[in-house]
Amino acid sequence: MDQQRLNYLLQQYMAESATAEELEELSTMVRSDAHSDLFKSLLAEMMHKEAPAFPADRERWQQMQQDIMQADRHSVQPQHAAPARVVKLYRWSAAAAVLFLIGLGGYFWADQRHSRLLSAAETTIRDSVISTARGEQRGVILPDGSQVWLNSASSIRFPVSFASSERAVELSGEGFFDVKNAGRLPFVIHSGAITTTVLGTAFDITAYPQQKTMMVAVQSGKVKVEAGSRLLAVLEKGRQVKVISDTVSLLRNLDTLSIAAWRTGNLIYKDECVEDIAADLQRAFKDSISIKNSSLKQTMITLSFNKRDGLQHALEMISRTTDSRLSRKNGIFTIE
Amino acid sequence: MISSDGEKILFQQAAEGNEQAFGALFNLFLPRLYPFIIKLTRSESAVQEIIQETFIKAWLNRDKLAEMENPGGWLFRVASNKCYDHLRARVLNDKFFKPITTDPEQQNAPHEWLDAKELMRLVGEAVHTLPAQRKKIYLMSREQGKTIPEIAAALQISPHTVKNALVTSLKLIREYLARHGVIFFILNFFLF
Repeated sequence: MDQQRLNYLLQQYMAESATAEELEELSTMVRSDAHSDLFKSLLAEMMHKEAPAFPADRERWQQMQQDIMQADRHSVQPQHAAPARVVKLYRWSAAAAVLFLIGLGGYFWADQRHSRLLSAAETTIRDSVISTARGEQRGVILPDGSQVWLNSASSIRFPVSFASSERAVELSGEGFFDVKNAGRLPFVIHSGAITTTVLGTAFDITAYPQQKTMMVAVQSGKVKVEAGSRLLAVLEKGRQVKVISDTVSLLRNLDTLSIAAWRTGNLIYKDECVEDIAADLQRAFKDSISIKNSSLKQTMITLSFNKRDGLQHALEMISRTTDSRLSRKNGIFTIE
Repeated sequence: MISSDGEKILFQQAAEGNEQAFGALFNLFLPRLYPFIIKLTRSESAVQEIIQETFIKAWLNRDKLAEMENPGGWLFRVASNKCYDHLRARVLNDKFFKPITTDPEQQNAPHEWLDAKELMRLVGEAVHTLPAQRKKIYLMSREQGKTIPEIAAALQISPHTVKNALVTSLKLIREYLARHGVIFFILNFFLF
C-alpha cells in the first residue's frame, strides 16, 4: 500500500464519494492493522489541514475542560474487589427498583442486587450505578448527554440507553442535573417518595435516605414535582420546593447562584436544622459529628461556609450561632 | 504546523498546574481538532470521547509537553492515534467504511477502549496511592491551587523539593494508570 493510494482512499471516504470497492479496500487495511503508522500520520496531516471551527454546544465543551482538570484534584479510594462504584446490573421492574432506593445507600444496594441476580427475571438490558463516597463529588454524563453532578455519599442509577417513552433515572442523595432538551421526551427522576419530571433544564435535588428534608431547586427551565400521584409543585427558575416529613413548603425568588453551590465548595444552609447540616458536613468532610441534645438538633439556622475553610471552622460557626460548646475527642466532633 | 511562542508559554504555564493556561490551550486546539474528527467519525459521542481522552492525556503529561519542541504536534498525533483506534474498533465490529448511515447515534464508539469516566476515576485512585508527603504536596497544588513557592513556604521545605515532588507524582500517576491498562507511553518517541 503506498501513501498516495491510502491518501486517495481516505479523501474519497471523507468526501463521501468512495465506491463500495474503495470502502472495502479501506476496511481490509484497517482490519489487518498492517499500515497503522502510515494511516495515523495521514490522519494527523489531514487534521492539520482542516479549517478550524468551534463545535456547537460550547458550554458542554467548557464543562469537559473543567472535568478533565477535576480528575487529579482529589484522591479516590481504589476499588479492590469487584467494581463497586460503577456496577452493571440487570434491570428489574421499575417499581421494585424505586422501593429499593428508599433508605438504602448505593453500595448496599448494588450488593443486594448481585446476590439476587439469578432469581430476578432476567432481561438483557443493563443499568449502570454510579456512587460517590463521603468527601467525594463526581460528574456523570447520561446516555442522552444530560449531565449530573453527584454530591457526596450519593448514587444514581440509569440504563445504558433510555427508553423511547421517557428518560428515567433513580437518585439517592443529592445531584445537580443539567438535562438536555429532547423534544417532548420527558426526563424523570425517582428519588425516594418524590418523582421529578422535566423537559430540559438545570436543577438540584436533595433526597438523602436518612434525612427528613427533601428538596428540589430549579436554576433554569420548568420542573414538575410529585409524591406518588400527588402533585407537589410545578417549579420555575429560582423556585424551590422543600418537603420536611409531611409538610411541603414553597420558596420563591431563590438566588439561582446558591443552587447546588456545593459544586464550587460553597456550603449554604438556609433555615435548616442543625442535625441535617451536621449530616451534610459529615458527607462533605468524612469526619464524624455528634450532637448531644435533641433541641439543639432541631434548631433552625442559616449559615454559609466554604469547604476550603475546613470542618473545624464550620462547626465553630455553628456552635457560636447556637450558643453551644464544641469539642473534639478521638477524631469525633461533639456539639453540646 | 509548529507551535508558536505564545502556545509554548501556555504549555509551560500549564506544566506548573495553571488551569487557566490549560483551559486556553483547550480552547485553542478544540476548533482545530473537532472539524476533522467529526467528519471522520460522523459521531458526536465519538468526537467527545476522542477529544476528552486526548486532553486528559495532555493534562497528565503536562510536565513533558512543556519540554517538547512541538507540543501542538503531539496533541494532533495523540488525537489521530485515537481516531485510528476508533476506526479499527468499528471495522472489527463490521460497521465502518460502509456507505453512510443516516442515524449517527447508531455509530457510537464501541466501548472497547477505556471509558473516559472510568479513566477519570482511575486518575483519582492514582492520586490516592501517592506516598503521604507527595500526596500532600500534590493536593496542595491541585486541590487548593497553591503555587510552588506557596507550598514550599507552608511546609518549610525548598521550592526545589516541591517541584521534584510534583514531577515525581505525575510520573507515579502515569505509572499507576499504565499498570491499570491505560497506556500513556505509547508515543514516547514523539515526546522528545
